[in-house]
Amino acid sequence: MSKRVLVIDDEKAVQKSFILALEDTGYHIDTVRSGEEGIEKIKFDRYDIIFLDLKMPGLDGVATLRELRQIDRDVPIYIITAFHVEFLDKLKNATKDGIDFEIIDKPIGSDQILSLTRGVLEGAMDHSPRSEQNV
Amino acid sequence: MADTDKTKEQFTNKQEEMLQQVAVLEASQAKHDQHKTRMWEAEEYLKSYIESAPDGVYINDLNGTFLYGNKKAEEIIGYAREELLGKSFLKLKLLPPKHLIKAAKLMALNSIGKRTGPDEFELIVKGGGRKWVEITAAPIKQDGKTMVLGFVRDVTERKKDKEIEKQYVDDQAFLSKTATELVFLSLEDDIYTFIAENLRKLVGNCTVIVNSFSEKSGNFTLQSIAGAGRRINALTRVLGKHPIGMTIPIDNRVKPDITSGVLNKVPGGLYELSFGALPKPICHNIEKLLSLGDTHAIAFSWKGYLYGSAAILMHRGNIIRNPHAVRTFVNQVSIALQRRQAEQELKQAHDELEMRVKERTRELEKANEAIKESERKYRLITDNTADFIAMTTFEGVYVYLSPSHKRLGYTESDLLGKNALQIMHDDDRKRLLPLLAKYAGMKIKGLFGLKNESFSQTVSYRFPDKWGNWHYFESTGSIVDAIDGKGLNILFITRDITERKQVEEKLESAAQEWRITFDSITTPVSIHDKNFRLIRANRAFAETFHINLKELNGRPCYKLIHGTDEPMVGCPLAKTLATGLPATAEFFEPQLGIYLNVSSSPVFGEDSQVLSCVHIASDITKRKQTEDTLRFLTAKSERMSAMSTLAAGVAHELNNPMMGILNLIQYCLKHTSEDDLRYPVLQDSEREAKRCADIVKNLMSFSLSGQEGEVEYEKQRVAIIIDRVIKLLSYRTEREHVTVTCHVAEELPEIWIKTNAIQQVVLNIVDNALDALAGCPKKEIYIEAQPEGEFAKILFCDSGCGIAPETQERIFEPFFTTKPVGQGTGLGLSVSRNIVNEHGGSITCESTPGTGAKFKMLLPIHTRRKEEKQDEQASPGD
Repeated sequence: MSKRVLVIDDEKAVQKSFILALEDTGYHIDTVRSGEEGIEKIKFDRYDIIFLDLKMPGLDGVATLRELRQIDRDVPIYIITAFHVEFLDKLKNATKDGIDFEIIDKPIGSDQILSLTRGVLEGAMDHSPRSEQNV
Repeated sequence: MADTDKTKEQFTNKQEEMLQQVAVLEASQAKHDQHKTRMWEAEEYLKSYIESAPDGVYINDLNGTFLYGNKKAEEIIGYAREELLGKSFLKLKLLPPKHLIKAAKLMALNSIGKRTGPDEFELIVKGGGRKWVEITAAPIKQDGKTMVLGFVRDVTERKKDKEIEKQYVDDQAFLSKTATELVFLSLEDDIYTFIAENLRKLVGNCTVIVNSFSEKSGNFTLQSIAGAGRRINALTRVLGKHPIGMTIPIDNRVKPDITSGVLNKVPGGLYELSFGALPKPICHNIEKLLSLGDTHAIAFSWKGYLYGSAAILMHRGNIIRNPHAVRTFVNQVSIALQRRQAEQELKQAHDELEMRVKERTRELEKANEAIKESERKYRLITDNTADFIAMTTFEGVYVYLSPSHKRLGYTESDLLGKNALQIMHDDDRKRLLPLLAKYAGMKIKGLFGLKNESFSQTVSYRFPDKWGNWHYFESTGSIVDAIDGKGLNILFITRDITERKQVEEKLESAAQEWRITFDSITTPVSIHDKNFRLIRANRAFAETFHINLKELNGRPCYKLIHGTDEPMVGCPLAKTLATGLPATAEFFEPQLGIYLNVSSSPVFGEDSQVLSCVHIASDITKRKQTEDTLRFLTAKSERMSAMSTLAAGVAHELNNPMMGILNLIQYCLKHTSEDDLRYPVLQDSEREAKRCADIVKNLMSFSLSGQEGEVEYEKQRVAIIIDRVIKLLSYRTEREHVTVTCHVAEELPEIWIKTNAIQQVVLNIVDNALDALAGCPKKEIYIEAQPEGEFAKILFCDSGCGIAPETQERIFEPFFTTKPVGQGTGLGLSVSRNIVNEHGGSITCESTPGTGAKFKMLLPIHTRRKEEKQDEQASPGD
């Protein structure tokens, strides 16, 4: 059974970036355009990794994160955002509440998407998102 | 008189003769007793003798009944012998009642055999007439019966003469007495009553009415009535209600006649009176009086003046006893009246004089009192005045000193006769000498009677007290008459103004202090009057507005300062003058090229009207510049804030498509053979896309500065920060051809910082360095970072013109900038220092002009608190 990837982002370019970057991996990639849709998805399907945008119409990224964690406490969630300052407090609070997540600043290239996803899904975690950011 | 004496002598002789005859008769009687016969003969002889005797001879018994009377007796008594004989003298009423007792006494003597007489009796003769007789009586015995033989001699003539003589003597005595009394009669006594009473004494039992005459009114006024008794009622009936107040008008025509007493000859029914005549109107009244008795009128006149009149009302039958005496008395009275009138006039004159004297005396007393009062006042003033009052000669020698000089320790003898000029301060003497000369000039004028040209002058000088302390004196001198009235002196009224002088000095020094203070105020302060004219201004004012305060020429301030013909629009001074309220305004003064903040406050006069204005003009050019800078900064900050927001939005918006572009390129690259000509083009595209992503990322990180208050410290590598800044500024360094070299020591660990804040500091310093390099031939920036003890030391060096030592410290002050307005914020370095200080580090400038600037920044490597905190948070993530 192939690994499942969920991308929650209202930007088509972002969704497509993930699809293109991961085309050869054989992972099943689902893309949704909002937090609500993402939540619906996770209710019925199990995912191995979730990429979550912060600024979206409807439910924002953090709220979605909290909902997702209600359903699945363990799935690695990577918040990929173009601009996270306005959500900083919410994220901090989420951290304080013990909600686990990682942050990756947009834009990220295909190799980063590939290595990150592979690393998470195949257990090769040598490349942490934060250190990646700091290169 | 000679006749009278002769008669008297004869009488006396006769009397003696008769006495001898009586003696003979007595002898004969005795002889008769002895010789009866002879007696008859003798009796017959005697009878015939008696019968023809010159004296009346009568015989009566002891009852008074006549038994015999000779011829002479008949003659004397007036009764015939037949009427007498057998009748008593009582029955015949021969004697008036007053003689009856006397007669009885004599008869009693006769009855006991004694002789009486001669005694004088008044006989009432037949027909009521009166005769004075002298009676000698002797008792005779006939037929055993005692009878009285009386001899009666008519002595009426003699008596009359005697009476006249006596009356004359009495009148003389009376007149001399009344004359004396008249002489001593005081003015207060009623002379008319006196006249009335004394006239009555002269004329006997009568009523005397006395009138006074007034030349002025021509009226007789009834003054007094004497002896009226019961008649007063009758008089009242005749003369009117009040006889004493009665006036009788008199015709001026007849007045001379009254006074001359010749009116009895004036025709027209005048009454002839005893002593002259009266005119008809008077006589008319007197006529009325006639019914009361015989009336006589007398006028008191003397030397042609009529003084009054008297009307004498007598009982019928009475006659004026002695007209001569009456006339004399009237004359006396006239004289007395004249004298009295003269006296009265004199008294009046005297009284008037006395009154005038009294008045004058009173006036004098008043004047005296006034003088005394004034003297007392002056004395009071001079004795008690705090001022010193002194009089000197024109040479300055003291001639009078008020007691107040004692307060200076001097007694009169200390100063009197001394020259004031010699006592006063030497310097002042020299100064005052010419003044004294002036006074001397006045004195000379005074001698020519020009004293009235008053001359007084106030002078001040120093004068020692007795203890040698100097007093400041202020004297006013004026030329006055000398005390002794001889010549002129100078009166000095002197006030001790030492205290005032001290106060003045203090005031002066206070004013000086104020002036200095006023002048040392660096803000231009000025005081203007209602017409905008400068009353006063401090030095700063003069300097700021380039005005010579001595050459104001009454020009209004707007003319002086702004060069305009009327106050500027919005001039606060004009506002204050118009409203009386303080006002402020700020404006640019183009003439001087400065900004001014002008405030004006009103100064009110006693009538609550604005008297003047205090005008404070501050040069606020610098503040204005600062404000401009601030405004610029604010604008910039706002702009940056807006930019931040925009950048954030843009970044967000760009990042998504950027991610798309990057991934799409990478996808294409992946599916393109490296031999393909398109492969390097795609590689270029990928690189440019990544560069775009970097630019956006950097843009974001800087736009976020200032919003990072809540950003926590984090561990960061210095190299990354420097790299970012260089990247951010790369477009500028490349454009301006600046070489940026960076060397970060490898052993420098990550340090705890607020990345964005430090990033901004680095940006600032490098940005400044770039500014400093503009125009420099050598354009190099060298950045070096290495550990130094507990700190990470980061050095920024440039090859610019350097920073002057005096500016080096100031560059960290807020708003200090060396850049043209609008180009530099002046905040950069001060904010940088704040940030670094907040980190516990420091930032300093080391620079020598010509060799470029060197900024040294020290940041602590470890901040334990932060580190610990961060460690706790960081550990799970690691």
